[in-house]
Amino acid sequence: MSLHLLYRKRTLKRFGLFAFLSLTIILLLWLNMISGTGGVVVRDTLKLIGLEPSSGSFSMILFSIRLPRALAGLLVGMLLGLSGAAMQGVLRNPLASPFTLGISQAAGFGAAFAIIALSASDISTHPLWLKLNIALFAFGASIVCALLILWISHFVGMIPHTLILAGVGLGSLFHAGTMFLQYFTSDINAAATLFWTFGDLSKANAMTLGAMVLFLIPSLLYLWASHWKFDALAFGDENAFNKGVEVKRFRIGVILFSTLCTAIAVAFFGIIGFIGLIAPHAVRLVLGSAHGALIPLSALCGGALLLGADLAARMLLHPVTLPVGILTSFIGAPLLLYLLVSQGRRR
Amino acid sequence: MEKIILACLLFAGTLFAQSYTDMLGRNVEIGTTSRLVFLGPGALRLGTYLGLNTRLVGIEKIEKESSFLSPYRTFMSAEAIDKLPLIGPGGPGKMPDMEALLTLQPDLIVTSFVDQNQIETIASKTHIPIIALSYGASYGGTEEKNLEEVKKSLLLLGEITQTLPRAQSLVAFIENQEKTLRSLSLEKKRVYVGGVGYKGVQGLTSTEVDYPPFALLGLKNCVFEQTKLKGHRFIELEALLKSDPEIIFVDLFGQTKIQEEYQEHKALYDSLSAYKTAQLKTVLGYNYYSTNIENLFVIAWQIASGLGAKVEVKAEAEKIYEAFYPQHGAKLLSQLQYPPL
Repeated sequence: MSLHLLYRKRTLKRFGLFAFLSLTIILLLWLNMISGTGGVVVRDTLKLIGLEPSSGSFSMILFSIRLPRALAGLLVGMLLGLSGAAMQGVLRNPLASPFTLGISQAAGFGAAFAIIALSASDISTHPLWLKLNIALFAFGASIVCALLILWISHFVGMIPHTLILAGVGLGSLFHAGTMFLQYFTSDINAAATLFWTFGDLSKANAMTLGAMVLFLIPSLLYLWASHWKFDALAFGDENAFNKGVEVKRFRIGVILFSTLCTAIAVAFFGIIGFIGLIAPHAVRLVLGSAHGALIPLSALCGGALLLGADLAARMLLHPVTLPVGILTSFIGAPLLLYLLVSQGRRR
Repeated sequence: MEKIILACLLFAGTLFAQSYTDMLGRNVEIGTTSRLVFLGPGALRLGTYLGLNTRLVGIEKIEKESSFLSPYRTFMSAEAIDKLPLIGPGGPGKMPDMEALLTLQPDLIVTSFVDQNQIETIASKTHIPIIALSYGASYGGTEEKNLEEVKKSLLLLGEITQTLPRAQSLVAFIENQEKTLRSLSLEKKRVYVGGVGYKGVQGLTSTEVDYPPFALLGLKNCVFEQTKLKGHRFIELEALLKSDPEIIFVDLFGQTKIQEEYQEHKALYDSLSAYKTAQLKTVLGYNYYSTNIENLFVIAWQIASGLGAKVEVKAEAEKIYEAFYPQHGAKLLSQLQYPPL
């Protein structure tokens, strides 16, 4: 096969996956709009497109609950997928994700600290502070975790496996901190902390959605524009350096951008595990490792996965709703084990 | 036409809306209260005491599970509850089904034991007035004494739902009980309570530092004599062996578990004075989806009787149940099939 044909085939494949993911997202968005307490009501589609008059309560349910929730699913999934793809690329490790780097656990600790320690002290009663203190602390703790990882790695060399080990270590440290706080607090705070960690998209509103878009667009552009650097890194640090990549600086930049993506999603909605791990792997399985396609399509795949998972979480045990974080971990944990085993075999 | 009537009703509602400060210090505008839902541990119990169960338009799934450890659930007739649509799973920390709330459109959501952040989220999503009640220090309240918060919550709920006379008479009864119980003269003995329900069934080491029935009688949990701790605690069995209470009161909820524990560690438990002298006394279930306030008083009478006071526990229990569930007290008590009082 000539090079030209190969190139054309690759472009077609990329476009095909892009179209497939976009259609899946549209389908899932539609399904999310017509499913709720009453199950999946296909007839509601008529109300959606204005062919049938809708009652006040239907439009309230749609705009106050279903639409923000679905958009949150899409955006959080995109942020996590993007962050996972970037981390796996820059650390050259298929197991790297916000979860394995301890960033999610750090956010959990930040939230627990805000719920438990701050509720005991009256720092401020300003409504905006009350609304945002948990998200701010979760966000702050994630950033602190990422900075600590970078700081530790600075001493032992900025190589992928030290970064991951530092992440695992810090992850357990933050997790221990959360358990410590939970043990000593009142029942109500312990329950609030526990449910925060489950990850729940129903908290979405215009402000949280706006904030996520603000983080997603620059991160996506930066990471996508750097796709050739990821590709160069895949052949080793030295190779990347020879191609003009300042490896250390690039690594710090990518880790900070990926952390920001994860932190903003986790801060508002709690820990939603494994999307960051699964999405890039799924895309890689179809398209291979070229980051020009991997980065944007991982984001799309993450969005589709989380939208689907959220729909499943609401409909599988209907009328009981599962927090989506539990369901994604159910899907993600076996995949992580599969990756470990298949990697072991390859060696 | 329907829309016009609805708009008029809504407008009328806002005209008569009044501002109330709830137990978390939030200001809430509330109009009519003929359609209610209750969220979180204990909220529906306080509503039932005021007879508000007849205004229910939706219910948490957990509240449909009847148990003899939960008098108010036994009191609400099963047929009436079964027909009610679900508004969420129930249980601490869990979010309600907000679509169901929006579909049912209750006039007011009453909560207890729900985190303030969650309350604000529910309020912003549903735009339905939502108030927080409180069971006191152990449950996220600020007041030292749990009962004070419960009384304030009852009066607040009474005022909001136009059942103030009922709330006032119940609070007066509670205060009268507190006074009578405080005046009883009891034998001075070291006492302990174990098996207190806490997020489910617990064993002998599950206790309350300031167990309200003890507090009502001026007693102290002997394991915590020197401390200023509050609320529920799990203790080391060693601490119990060291304090060696003369009488151990066992919560009905944890009774079976404690018996199982005893079978496993016979020698250890037999070294406790209370086990040696058979001074283990069962009291009614205290916590079950938050505190059973009526049982709290019956327990106090049971403890008083265990400490030598000449009291008729059964008669007192009937009186208490009659006060909490007017005209149904005696019947409910017999329905619950508690061990002989």
